[in-house]
Formats: sequence, C-alpha cells, structure tokens
Amino acid sequence: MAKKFDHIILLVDDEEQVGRALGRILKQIKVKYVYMDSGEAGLERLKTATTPFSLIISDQRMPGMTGSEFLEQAKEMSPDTLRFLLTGYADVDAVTHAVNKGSIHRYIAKPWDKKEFIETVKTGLEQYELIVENDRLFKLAKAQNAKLYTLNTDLKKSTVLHKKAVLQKDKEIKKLKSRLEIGFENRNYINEIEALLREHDMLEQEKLNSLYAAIVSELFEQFQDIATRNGFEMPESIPGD
Amino acid sequence: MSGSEEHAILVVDDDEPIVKNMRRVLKRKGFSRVISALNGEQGIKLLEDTRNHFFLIMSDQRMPGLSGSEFLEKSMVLSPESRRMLITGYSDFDAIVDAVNKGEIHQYIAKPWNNDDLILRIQTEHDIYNRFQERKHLFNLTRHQNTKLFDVAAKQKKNLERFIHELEEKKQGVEELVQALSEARQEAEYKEIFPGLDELLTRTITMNQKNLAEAFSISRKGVMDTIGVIARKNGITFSPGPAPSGNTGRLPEDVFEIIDQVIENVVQAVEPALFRIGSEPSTGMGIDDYTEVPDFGELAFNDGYITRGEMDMAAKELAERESDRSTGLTISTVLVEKAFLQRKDLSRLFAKLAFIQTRLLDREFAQILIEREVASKKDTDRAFRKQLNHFEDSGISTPLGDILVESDVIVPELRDEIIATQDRSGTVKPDNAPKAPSSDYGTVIDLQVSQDRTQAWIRVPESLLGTTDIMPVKALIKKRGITNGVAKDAEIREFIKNGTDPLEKFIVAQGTAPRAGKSAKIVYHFNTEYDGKGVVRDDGSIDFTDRGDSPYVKKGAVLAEKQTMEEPCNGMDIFGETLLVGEVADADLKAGDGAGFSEDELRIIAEVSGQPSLDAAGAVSVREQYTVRGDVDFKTGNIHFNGNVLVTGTVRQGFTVECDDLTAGEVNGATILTRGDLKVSNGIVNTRVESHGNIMAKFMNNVTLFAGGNLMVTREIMGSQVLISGSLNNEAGRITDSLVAARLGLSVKQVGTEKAESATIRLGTDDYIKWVAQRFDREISGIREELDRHITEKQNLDNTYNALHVDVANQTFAQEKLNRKMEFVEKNMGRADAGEERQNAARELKEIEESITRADERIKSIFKEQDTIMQQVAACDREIGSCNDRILAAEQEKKDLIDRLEKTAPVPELKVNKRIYRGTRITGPTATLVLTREMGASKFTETDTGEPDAPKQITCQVLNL
Repeated sequence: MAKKFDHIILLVDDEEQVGRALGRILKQIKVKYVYMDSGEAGLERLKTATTPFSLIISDQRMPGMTGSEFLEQAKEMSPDTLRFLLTGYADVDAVTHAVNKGSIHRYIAKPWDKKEFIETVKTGLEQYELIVENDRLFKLAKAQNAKLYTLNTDLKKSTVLHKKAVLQKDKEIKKLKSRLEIGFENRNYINEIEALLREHDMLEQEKLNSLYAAIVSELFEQFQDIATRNGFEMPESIPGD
Repeated sequence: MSGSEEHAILVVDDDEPIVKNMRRVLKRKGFSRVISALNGEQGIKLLEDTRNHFFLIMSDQRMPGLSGSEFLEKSMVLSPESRRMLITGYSDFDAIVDAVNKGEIHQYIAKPWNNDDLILRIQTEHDIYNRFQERKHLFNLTRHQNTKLFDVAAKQKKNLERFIHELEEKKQGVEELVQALSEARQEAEYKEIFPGLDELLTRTITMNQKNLAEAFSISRKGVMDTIGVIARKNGITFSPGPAPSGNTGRLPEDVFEIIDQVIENVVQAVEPALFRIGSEPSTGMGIDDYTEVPDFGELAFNDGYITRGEMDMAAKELAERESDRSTGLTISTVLVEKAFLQRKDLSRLFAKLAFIQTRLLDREFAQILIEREVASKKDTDRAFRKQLNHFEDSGISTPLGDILVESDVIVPELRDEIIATQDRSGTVKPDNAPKAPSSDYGTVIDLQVSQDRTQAWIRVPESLLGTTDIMPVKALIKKRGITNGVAKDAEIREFIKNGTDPLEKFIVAQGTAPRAGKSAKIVYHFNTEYDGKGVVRDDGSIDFTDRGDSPYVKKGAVLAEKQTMEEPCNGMDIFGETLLVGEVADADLKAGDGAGFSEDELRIIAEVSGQPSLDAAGAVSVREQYTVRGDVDFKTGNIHFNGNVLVTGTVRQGFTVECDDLTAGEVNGATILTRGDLKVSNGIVNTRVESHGNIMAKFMNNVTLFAGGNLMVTREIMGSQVLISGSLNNEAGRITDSLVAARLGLSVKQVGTEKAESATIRLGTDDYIKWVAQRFDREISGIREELDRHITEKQNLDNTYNALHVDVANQTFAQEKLNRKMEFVEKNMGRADAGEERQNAARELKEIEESITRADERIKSIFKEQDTIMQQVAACDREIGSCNDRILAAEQEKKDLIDRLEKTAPVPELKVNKRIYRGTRITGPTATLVLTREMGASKFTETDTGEPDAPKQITCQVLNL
C-alpha cells in the first residue's frame, strides 16, 4: 500500500540527532520526510505545505512549545494528518493529557524498538490511506449523485417535451381523420339524397311513396326522350316489371 | 470516533483481574460492550453466534488449549472484518512481527500495558474498522450509482430514439392522411361532373331499344333501392307501386329539384352496372372471349357462317392444293370459291378479325394505364364501350388510345409511348397457315376427371388423331372449368398429332395431391393402463395386497419414446381448389419425478428403480414406495412423501397423507392428497380427497372427493359430494343423498331409496375440470397478490431511494453555497485589520466549516441508508422473479392438466341396472331432468336432436336386463 501512495512525514525534535536517526529508519522503508527542530517551525511548515502530511511524529520535550501542545495545534490546521508523540518515561502525565484531549493517535516510547517503530508507522500510513481513499469515494459519490440528479431532471423534462410533440401530432391526425370522415360521408350519394329529402320534409311515408312514383315517371320520360332522339321508342314492357 | 454502541469488543484471556481492569478502562472511553471469554474455544462459540458483531477481537497469547495466535487465525474465518489484537506477556517481537506480516493480527500489546497506550491502540483499530465499513458502503454506492448513471443515459438515448421513431410514424400518418384527403377530394370533384343522362347512356351502352330498356330497368331499381334504404333508416314503410299519373300533385313545388338530384346521383351510382348491358353474347364466342386472334376459318365457324364440315372440306382442299399456296391461296379464298361463304361476309369477317386483334392489344393498353394509375377502370370501360359501339356502327376498329385521347383522359404523348412498347406490327393473322384436315367434331372427345380431382385425361377419337388442331380439346378443358396444371399446348398438339389409338389416355391436367402428415406419437414402454384393481372379496372390500403384477422398472430403463411429427402439405385440384388435409398435432414428452430425458430428448429414462406411471398431465414418473405398518396416527404424524405410500391400517382422524399413489386399509376423518391413485380396501369416511388419479374403495360416507380419474366403489356412496373427470363404476352398490358428477358417465346398480334424500347425478359435465381451473386460479391469484406486494414494496423502496437522492443533491448544493461564502469571508478576513472585525470573521468561518461538516455527516448517513435500500431492492427483485416463475409454472400446469382432461369427449350417460327412485335429479352438460317416478333398469342419456338450435334433453331408455 505504501508504495502506491506518496506519503510524506513531518518529524519534529529539538535534537537533530534523534531526527536524523528516525529519518534513517523512514528512508529504509522508502518514506519521505521533512525535519523541523521546533513546534513553531513545524506549524509554519504545516501552513506552507502544498501536499498534506500523512503523519506527524513529534518529540514531547522541546524548549518552547511541547510536543503535545504542537500536536494539538497541528490537529486544527490539518485534521486528517495522523499525530504520534515521542515520549520518555517521565512524560506519562503529558501522554494521559493528550490522550484525553484526543490530540494524539499513538505514542512511541523512547528508546524505541526499530521493528516496532516501523510497524507503528506502517499502521499509521495505512490508516491515513483509508482516510484519503474514503474522502475520494465520498466526493465521487456526491458528484455522481449530482450528475444523476441532473440527468433525471433532464429526462423528465425531455419526456414531457416528447409527449407534447407526440400529442400535437396525434391531434393533427385526429383532425385530419375527422375531416376525412366528413369527406367520405359527403361522397355517399344515399346520405346526400337523405339530407336533401330531410331538408324538403319528405321523410314521411306518403310523401316518399309519391316521390318515388314521381321519380320513376320522370326517369321514364327522360329515357323516352333519349329513345326518340335515337329513332326508337321505349318498349311497352320493361324488364324487371 | 471514540466509543460506539453498535460494536462490541471480544476479549479472550484466562486472567480475570486483567479483563476486569480492561473493561473498566474501556468503559471510561465509551467502549461499553466488552465481552470476555476464558479461552479460545469459548471465544469461537461466541463468534459462531451470528447475533454478535465484534469490531475488535483481543486475545492473550498464553492460554490453555488454543494459543492466542491460533485462536485469532481461526477467528479470521468466522469474523473476517473484525480487527485482531494479540496480548503478549513478553516481547517476542520477531514472532509477533511475523504474525502481523502474515495478516493474522493487526495489532499487539505487551503485558503489562500502559492504559493510555491500550486506549490509543483500540481507538486506532476502531477508527480503521469504521473506515473500512464506510469504504465498503461507498464502494457499493458508487458502483450502483455508476450503473444508474449508465441506465439513465441509456434510457435517455432509448427515449430519444423511440420519440424520433414515434414522431416519424406520426408524421407519416399525417402525410398519408393528407394524401388520402386530397385523393378523396379529387374523387369527389370527379363525381360532381354529371354529363347529363343522354351522354352518360351513350358512353355506357350500345343504343338500341333493348339495351335502353334494360338501362332504364337498372336505373329504376337503383332509385327503388336508394329510397328503400332511406325509408328503412328512418323507419318508414316504403311500398313502391307503379307510377300513378297526377300523383305528384301532393308533392311540394320544388320537388323537381329533388327528382333531378336523385336521378343524377342514382344513375351515376349504377353506371358500372350499365356497362354490362349487352356485353354478354347470347351464343358462341363473343368478341371479348378470344384470348388470341382466331384463324379465319375458326371465326367463320364460330360466327355461324360455315359448318364444321364445310370448314374441314375447305381445309382438305387447301392442303391438296399446297403447291398453289405460294400464289397466296388462303382458306378464305377456298371458302368463297366453294360458295360456302359469300364475298360480302368476307370483308365483315376480316374486319372482325382486325377488331379482335385491336381489342386484345387494347386490353393490354388499358391494363398499363390502370397500373400506372393514369386512368380508372371506369374510364377504360367507357372507352371500350365506345370502341365497340363505333365498330358495330361503322365496322371500323378505333384504337382505344385514340378514344381516350379524344375524351381527354390521357394525352397523345402517353398513348404513343405505350403503343411503342406494344407489338402492334402484325396485322390480322394470315389465314394461309398450314392447316391439316380437321376431324369431324361430331365425334366426342372423352374427358374424365379422377375421383380425387387431381387429374384429368382425355381420349381422342380416331378422326381427330393425326391432326394438329387442339382447339376442341382446349375448349373442352375450359368448358369443364379446369384451370390448374393444364398440359402445354405443344404437348397436347404432340399427342393429337402422333396418337393412333383412340383408347390411349392422355393426361391434360395434373393437380397436386395433398400429403397427409403424421401426428407425433408417444410410445410407452410400460403398462400405462395398469389400474391396480385389487381383488374384490365377497364383502365388497378390495384386496390390494397382490401387487405382483404392478409394473416395476429398474434405473436406466427406457420408459417412453417419441415418434416425431411429419408436417402435412395441402394440394390443389385441377379446378384450382385447395385440397386440405387434416392438421397434425405435436406431442410433448414430459418427465416427472424419478425420470429424465435422454440426450436427444426423444426418450424418457428411469432415474430410480420403482413403479412407473403416467399422470394426468402426461408426465412419466417413477415412484419409490414408503410403507406404514399399521395406522397413520400420532405415532407417524402427517405423511408427505414424494412417492407411493402403503398404509396397512387406517389413516386416522385429523391426519393428512400427501403422496403419489396411496394404498390404505381404511380412511377415517382424514385429508388425502394424491398425485396418483387412491386405493382403499374398506371405506372412506368423513374425509376430503383430492386426487389426480383413479380411486377405489368399498364404500364412501360423507366424503368430499375430487378426482381426475375414474372412481370404483363396490358398495354405497352416501352423503357425499363427488366430482370426477372419469367414469363411476358402482354396479353393485347404490348412491343415496349425494351429488355425483362424472364426466365419462356412470354405471350404477341403484340410485336412491324409498326413504333417503334424493341424489343428484351429473353426467358428462365438466365440474371437475372447473374445480381444477378454479383451484389453479386461486393459487395463481394468490401468487399475483404476493407479486403485487413485492412490486409495491420495491416501488416504495425506489421512491425512498430517490427521495434520499434528492436530499443528497440539496445538501451538496447547500455545501457549495457555503464553500463560496467561505471563500468570500476568507478574502475579507485577509483585508481586515486585526481586532474585532478579524475575530468576527474567524468565528463566522468556523461556523461555516461546522455547517459543511454537518452536511457531510448527513450525506454520509444518507449514503449508508441508500446502501441498505439497494440491498432490499435486490431482495425484492429476487422475490418478483420467483413469483413470475411460479405463475408461469402454475399456468402451464393448469393448461396441461385441462388439455389432457378435455382430450376425451364427455360421455353424458347414466346406466342403472336395478332401480332409480323418484326425485333423483339428472343433469347433463345442458339439460336437466327430475325423475317423477321410480324406474327399473334404464339408461339416461343427454341426446342431441341434431337441430342446431333445438334444446338438448335427457332421454331415458328402459333396459331389458
């Protein structure tokens, strides 16, 4: 895990020798570090850092600001960074205080065992990676959520628009259909005649029968005319009589 | 990140004071749930209890039994997500580091520990544990949201495509309608132009007295029909009578407007009918009957100018004077020379030949115009009529194209263009083609059609053999209406020319014989009819113990084989009628329990050894047998067995037996459900029976029974309700106070007694099938309800999910706003002087930051909730799928079962061989009869009088036994 991630550790100790000794161990496990010789310098460094530190290891006993004081302020400035305190036997009270305030994640007793120190640092880095990874996932989830929200809203909008467009066409079709139907009805000669008869109040039994007789008689006359024009007479008996 | 109520810590240590101390320290830091075990074995038991969730497992290394690292290694399997911490008494770092590297433990602590150190370590592990959990949720969520994003995008794309498609379709619909509307308008306008009666008649009929009279008759009928329709529509009695003169006086003044309008419309409407006037020739061949230009002699003969004898003689002479043919000798010349034909008729015949030719070509011409939609059929019909009139008046053949141009239907250019595509070069076919002497047509050609109408053959009289004249044969074929598979002219000609034997048959038409298919068939390799009828003892009880003849198969035996279906093929007879053959049916092989398919799926193989059977739904199964020595009672409990069950004693009150075949000594007060047969040596009493198979018993009292098979009862059926799909055999017993419905009929000794309540007998009815259908419907609707519940639940979950989704979006949006505000405040703070203003800004910044953090916490908890909902939705989906599968399965089972039951036609028959008492109600599928008197041996049947609408009835026939 450590290899995938570019960790950087902040070492703070007024004794440069101690800093150098720890730095050597970190170098062995291929982790970069920055050394500062006081809490004040450490805070300054944190302020100007472009990439956040994964871990801060600070000695408790330093002239000026103590380690736990420094780490307490560091927590405010870089809350995700893990904080380890380096202590001697006489610092028991300081540790208890720091633990109670929640300002340190671990303490490392001096003199340290090298293997144990490495394990502790590795666990810390692993924990930090988890913090960063979860943060990334959380941001991703939020972004996805926002995108989904927008897409869904768009979908709803476009569906409404589509429906409107289709509805409009449907209306058009309906209108055309009804016009076509009216058109067909106009062409039906029976309906035309019926309308004509209704208009003239002819839809009564007696009138209709009389009308029929009148039509037939008129029709015969017209045929008789044509026959005469062609030089013959309509026969006496008509087929179908 | 400090204490958590949800998660507990497991401590395994045999040193109780240490555990006690630890518990106290941890409690102060909020880890209130600390559970301890004294050794590894106890620890494992605690881990195996799924109710326990430990975020941390701590173990002392030195313990009796399992060592700490051994225990922690085992705990990895039982609780893989837990953090593991080893407590060591001495600092053997190498071993511990090794364990850490192997991933067995995450943390270790040396005894005696510093409490601060312990707390820090446990807090670290708790933090890591929580972050892993969080990461898991976020992982699931992002993956799910990704899928959703993809789905929504796909849906959007699909919606768009569908929308475009739909819109395109609608657009096309609009276009089509617009087109139809414009056509309709055109047609309407086209119709409006009435040329006047005279003009309309001139263009439709040949003007003479007979035709005009006929046209008048048609027009008058048109008027009558029209007025008739209108009268009917308006509920008026219309009685057309002859036209009484002066009757119009009662009509209004403006009536002539109506009269003209009616005449105009009706005459236009009947115009197509007018075309037909005079076009049917009374005798012989009409002009339009020719499909090719006839020979001169043929036409002269057809039109009655010459006799067949005269024609033959002329042809013979022409053949003899063959040398003269180069000089242009033709049959017409010979006919005139021989004075068979007058010269004046000669020109008339030539004119007619020319007209036939023109007419044939013009038919093509008209067809092209109609196909190109340049002219309507009405247009061309009118033109043809005009052409014919013109020819009959003047003897001149005017090309149809000219007529159409003249009446402005087409433009001259189009006429010329189409004519150019036609071969109009040949004038009238020269009548000097070689012509062999014709036979005497008085002798008859014998044409016979085979019984199956797929073949026709002719025998040609000697007089015709050796000629090349196929006209009489062709005419005969046409006359008989043979249209399909007619031999080619060349073949017929060949036969006539080369034939010598007047008895020789020649096939002139060959249809296609139909080919019958073959239904699929299933052959069973075991006795499917085995009914296991026991031996009836004198007291009516039945002995089923002799089971030696029951079929038995060994594992691997072939139980059934399918012979596949052959598709049928319809034929066509020589008259062009389709010859249908019966349809064939496929059959499905079905394997039930204990049986499986062969690789080619055409055979069913026994998978276990046992009794093979064919159930009502057509499935072949092999059943194993379970034997109960004695009764089914509290000792055995209810029996549910996938196989056959044998009970040597009684199935007792309150117990249920569900199995394939059941054989029992007695059934009393039980519930019996069998997929196969039920055989009871003695009686069935106070029991409900549902069975797919056959049932046998000595007697039945107060039984409700539903069975898919037959029922045999040797003694009484009393107070029972029996619905069966098979037949009832009760030839030695009697039915009293019961309802018995048997689809395949009943044969009974006695129905009713003097005193007992009368019985109801239902013959040939589908009561059982209806009951089965209802039972399945109930089951299906039950599953549907369940399905609906799951769907609603899923819907609700989806809604909740989506609401949360909106919630997150809102929170994120608010956060963005806060971020902007923070930037703004920061900028201001940079500019502000030290002091109060700066402090205020700093406070504000802190508040904003806190708001942002609170929003993050809220979003995180929503994400967690969404993760849970997602899992619930997945569970819903599984349930929905399973419901759908179950519905499909039940529907299929219902269909199979009912299909199989309905395959056999019902038998509405009741045979009584001794006595049937009055009051008995006998019901068939449609009719009912209540017996008003006592009767002896008799047979009741529901008969069909044959009349389709006549009511069916139950008839009774007295039997003489």
